[in-house]
Amino acid sequence: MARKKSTEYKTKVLLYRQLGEEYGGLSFNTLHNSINKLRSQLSKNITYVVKVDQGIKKRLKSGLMRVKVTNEDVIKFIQDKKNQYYSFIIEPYLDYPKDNERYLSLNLEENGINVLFSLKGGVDIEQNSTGVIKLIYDEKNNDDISKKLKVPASRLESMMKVFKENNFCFLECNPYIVKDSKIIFLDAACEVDDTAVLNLPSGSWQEDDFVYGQNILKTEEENIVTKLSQSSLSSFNLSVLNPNGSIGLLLSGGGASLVIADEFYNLGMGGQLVNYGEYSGNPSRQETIIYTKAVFSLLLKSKSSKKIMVIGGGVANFTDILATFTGIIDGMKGRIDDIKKQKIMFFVRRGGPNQEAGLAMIKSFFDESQIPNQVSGPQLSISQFVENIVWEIK
Amino acid sequence: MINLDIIKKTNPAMIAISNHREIIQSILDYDFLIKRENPSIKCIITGSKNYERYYFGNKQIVIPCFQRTTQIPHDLIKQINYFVNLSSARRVVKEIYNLVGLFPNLIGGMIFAEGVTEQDALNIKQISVDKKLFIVGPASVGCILPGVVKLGPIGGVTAKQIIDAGLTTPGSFAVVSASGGMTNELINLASSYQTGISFATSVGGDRFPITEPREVFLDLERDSKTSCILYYGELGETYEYEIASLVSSHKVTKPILAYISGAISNIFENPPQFGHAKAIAETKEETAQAKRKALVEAGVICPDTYSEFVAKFAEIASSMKKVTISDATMVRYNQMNARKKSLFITSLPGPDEYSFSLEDSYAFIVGSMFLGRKLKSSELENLIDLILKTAVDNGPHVSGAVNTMITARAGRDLATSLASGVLTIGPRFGGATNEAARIWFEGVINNIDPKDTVEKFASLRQPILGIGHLKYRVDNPDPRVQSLLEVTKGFNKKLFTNYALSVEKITTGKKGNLILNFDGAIASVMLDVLSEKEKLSTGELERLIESEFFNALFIASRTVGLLARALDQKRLDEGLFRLPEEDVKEVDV
Repeated sequence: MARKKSTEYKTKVLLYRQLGEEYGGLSFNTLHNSINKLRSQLSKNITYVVKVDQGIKKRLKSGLMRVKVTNEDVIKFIQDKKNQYYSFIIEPYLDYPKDNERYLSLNLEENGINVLFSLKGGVDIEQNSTGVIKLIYDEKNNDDISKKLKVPASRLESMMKVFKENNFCFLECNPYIVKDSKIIFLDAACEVDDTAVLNLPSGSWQEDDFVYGQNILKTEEENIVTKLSQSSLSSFNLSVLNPNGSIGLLLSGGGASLVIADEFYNLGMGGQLVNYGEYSGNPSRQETIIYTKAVFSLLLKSKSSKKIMVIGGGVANFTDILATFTGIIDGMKGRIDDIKKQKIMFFVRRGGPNQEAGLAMIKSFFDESQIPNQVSGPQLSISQFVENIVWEIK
Repeated sequence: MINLDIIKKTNPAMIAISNHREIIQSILDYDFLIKRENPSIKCIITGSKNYERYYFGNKQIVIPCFQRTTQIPHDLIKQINYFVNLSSARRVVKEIYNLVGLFPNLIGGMIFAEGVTEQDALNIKQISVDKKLFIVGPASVGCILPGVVKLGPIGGVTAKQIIDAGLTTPGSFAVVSASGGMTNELINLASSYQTGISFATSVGGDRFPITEPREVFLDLERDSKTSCILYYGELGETYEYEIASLVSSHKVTKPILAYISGAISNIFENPPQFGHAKAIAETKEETAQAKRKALVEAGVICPDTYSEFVAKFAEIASSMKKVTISDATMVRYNQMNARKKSLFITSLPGPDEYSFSLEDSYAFIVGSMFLGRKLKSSELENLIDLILKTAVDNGPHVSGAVNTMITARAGRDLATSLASGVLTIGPRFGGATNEAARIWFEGVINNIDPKDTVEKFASLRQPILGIGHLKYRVDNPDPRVQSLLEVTKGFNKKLFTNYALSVEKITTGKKGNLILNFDGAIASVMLDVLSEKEKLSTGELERLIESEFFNALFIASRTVGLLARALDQKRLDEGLFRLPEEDVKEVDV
């Protein structure tokens, strides 16, 4: 669907592999790896750098990395952090003169790959941006750029190859150093284009390499929806906002879902939203069932005393309302007792192909199940729809 | 580049990539509702069918389908001016490369798929610049210019949606949107005030839209029908700053009413990716608030909430001209309800429309019936005449004749006797023409060296159909083959016959009786006539081979011969035939 952050570890593996250089780093994921195995991989004769590897910036300043520590300190660092963080990178510590630090970033933009670089890199690059030079990469000017960067031309070419072949969109190496014509990446941050996942060279990144910043681990429901989206031609999206909120959002359409969520926010109800999410692209009935179950699971888990489920969207171009509503109803069927017990109220607003039949069907489903509901078509504007819900909550 | 003037002047002729039934039907419905005489979808790239059935009004039509763009006939290639690319993300780029290389009159198209990679999108963008094409997408529902063209699912896929949204009559508002759903929401907002739409498009929610909002705004500024532009944008990327700069530099002076969504992103500690690929603010300038501020400062009406946006719209719409759907359109709309799907479809004329004249030759009628259209060339008529005459009978000893004679002597009726003879026609008897045509065709089209073709069959230990005869040899040629080969004398290329003769040259070098036989000669000569005189494309030739067209003439002609054999046996009436004992010998295997 979009750009995703990859771990620093995977980014470096891909870079060093193309450069034909050995990489001595290790990754540690609390969900998949054992700490004893890691212990056996570390040597007591050298020192290490250990960092949280979840796409978080400014780690040194926030205490998410330690430099020049023993093998035992590495283990201790991980054990201290493992309740908040799950992904780590461990590398042998390398001593080098600080003023050799350089900065390089590559970003795919409309006009091509934009290169930002400075021969004076390091953690304070944002403050010292005066020495940063910007240019656009082209294979034809590879040699010129490599001279400016003071990097061997073949190395720069290899790096650009990694960038293109692995569908990187963004790569930041800050700092890196050049030693004996070898490039050493002390830090690397990367975003990849996840739509390329089925068309990558072997050994490239996979969905497991994605990290989402901060210390969040995704909920079971979010993971289900991520998997669903990856395996479907339609699109699904789910993010938890306030797990104990009072408003669940079962929305369709990338645009209309944002407009609806925004209207809650504009009316001061943003904090009451359990989730943001949307389905679109005419999903099948079975896919709609899976998505519906995930959203309902979140709302039913909320500890809020008043609960509302919003089934909303704009006027679809091609998503069949009757078919998707059939899926939504099937998705709710197993939870009707819970829905009634928790006195969840439903607000529906939707338009599109077969809207009359779809809206009538969901209305009669709620009425027959004795579930309180308000069902409307597109004649009710999105903003009026949201206002009605907010009024109901207040 | 988008150019509404060109779109207005273009009579749409579209190729659809992938058979998305609802979307294609909705484009045909739109054509019908706006009184276009012919469907604008001319062909579909899809699986294995030759045609797909659709409706134009309440009439059933068929749209030609091709597996590959290379199979599309020349005259159709010249017609196509738009593509509707409904294929999946992985196929999109390949198809676009095929399309722009092939269609000389292409002016643009739409890309429906979500999940096109950023690199691919940038490559397509480059193509659109190089070839001066107007391409909306990826992840777009297309565009609509009321009364002229509906390119994609935009505005809905049912006729009811199109009518409800008043999309058949041009109005005053233009809609430009990053979201397909919100495009339609805004179209419906405009129709609820009866103001109508002058143009609408979704540029798509990807990071690199091929047609950018800026380009559409500049074109709408020139468009005489558009009085006001409705814009829906989202957080992520910076296209709104370009709009703001167009407004502050007075390049766009028409009123713009905009809404930028994504304020909700603020309450996330760690903002997620929202519905669209670009919907994430990584810098401050990419936030909805910053973009709104820039637009407002430039002079765009860009309220903070959607409810204010709708209120502002109502205010503007109240002063606009109202548009209504004409009665004539409603009559057409109502006609569409009387759709009924028939069990069979046929392209041959019915009994009341018999369109051959008594002056037409029998060969002309047979050929036209088999081809499904009237013959264009006298060469084909003559060839068919020759085949019908020469294939009528080949003596009493061949399989078909023997079967028919035995059945007739068993006292069975005429039709049964004929059928038992016809049933022997296949790869070993009479039915080799079609397979021979396949060998010549594949050899020529795929540029296979005749040596390799011979080698392939030799290594498989299979005969080359169309080569070899029991009686005739290289020093004693088959006179029927000689007269067939006369037909292609004076042809420009005679690719297929030359290919067959090159194969024959190699095989007769091995064995004297491995000559081009009657079946093989019919196949090659027929291919040359169809290609050079009837102007069939390779795709059409391929389809004739698939349908076994090349065997049809033999079967038709030999039917007469078999009937003659049956009648002959009835006349002589010898009684039941039984093989003499010595003609069946037991052997050990």
